[in-house]
Amino acid sequence: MRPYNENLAIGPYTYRIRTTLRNVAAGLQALYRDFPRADASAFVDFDIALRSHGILPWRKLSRFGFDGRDQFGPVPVHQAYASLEWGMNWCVSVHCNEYLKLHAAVVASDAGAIIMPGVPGAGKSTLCAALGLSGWRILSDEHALIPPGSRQVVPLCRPVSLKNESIDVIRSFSRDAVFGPPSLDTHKGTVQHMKGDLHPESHATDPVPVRALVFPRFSRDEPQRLRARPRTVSFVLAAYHSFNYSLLGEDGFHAMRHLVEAAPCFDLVYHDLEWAMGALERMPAGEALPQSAEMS
Amino acid sequence: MHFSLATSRTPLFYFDPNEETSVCFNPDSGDTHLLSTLAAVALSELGDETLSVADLTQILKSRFDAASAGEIETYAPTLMEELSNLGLVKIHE
Repeated sequence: MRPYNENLAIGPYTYRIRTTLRNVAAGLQALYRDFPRADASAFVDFDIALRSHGILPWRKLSRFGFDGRDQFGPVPVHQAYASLEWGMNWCVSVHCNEYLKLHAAVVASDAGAIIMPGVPGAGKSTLCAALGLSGWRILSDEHALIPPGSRQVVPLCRPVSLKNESIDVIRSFSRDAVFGPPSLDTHKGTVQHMKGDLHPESHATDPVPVRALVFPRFSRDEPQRLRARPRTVSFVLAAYHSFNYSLLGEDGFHAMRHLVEAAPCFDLVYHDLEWAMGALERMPAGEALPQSAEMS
Repeated sequence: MHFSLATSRTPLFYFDPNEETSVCFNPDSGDTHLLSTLAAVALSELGDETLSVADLTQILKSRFDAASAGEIETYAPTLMEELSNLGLVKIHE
């Protein structure tokens, strides 16, 4: 397989990605094949190189390089694809403070965007993947980018990161899911990425109006429900899920207030993907449900 | 005992009229607090002033319904101590 060397236009950013690692190149070709290429003369926001590291043939390692420098410790080559995607997340997480950034999956329908903040394991990526495979537009699996003072979210569509049982759940959910190479025995277990640009407008860069903030939580043991939650409590929880709320100081407070004032907030507890997707589709637009109300 | 704001500027607030909690941003520390709306109103009323518990109690009683008056009277001193522990209020003995 030929080395990979492309300038990818991903949302508002240009990533230059180079690698000679076969499994990583194969994953990039599968998952980013439909992404627009940036002009060779375009400014490169993130210059990434994944290369092999070490000389022991029975212990193949790879390193993630950013702007010509190794950023993280070496990882086994069979985890290299996940390390690339995590590194691409890192690029946005630690830079790009022109936005209020929430750790969240973001999906959109004609009614607007739903921001789903959550800790790892909350079930946001699984739900995001299922929605994407069902006609919703995936705006991001990792970052909600909110321009301060706006009630919109900037698309940053990339592959969806699935872990452990979620991989088989999505394989069973749809035969159309396209996966990259599995990364085994990572600190998160087995990780595999799913092609995320499934919608005709996946690569559009215009900001999308926010319809709601939904805080998902996967639970096998609890009744499924979509319930309105207080905006003030949601404000603080969303700030907890932000990469740079504190860094932005007062601007972060104003940006979050502007967002939360406009977006009704909900808790979503689910264990059945079809139910969760139906609940989001039926979710009332505009004003939130009264706090005592819920859909189950 | 008197109280004043411990911050160099008035904190920023997010109130929702339908909710019992409010968000308060401390401009000096950058910390964000989820407070009872009673606490947030007490802070916003302090402004540049130094007030006694009695003054504050009167102000809060005028801002909330009569049914809460007894609770406000009982709770106000504790409330101000809690706000002091958060670094939002300064206590003058």
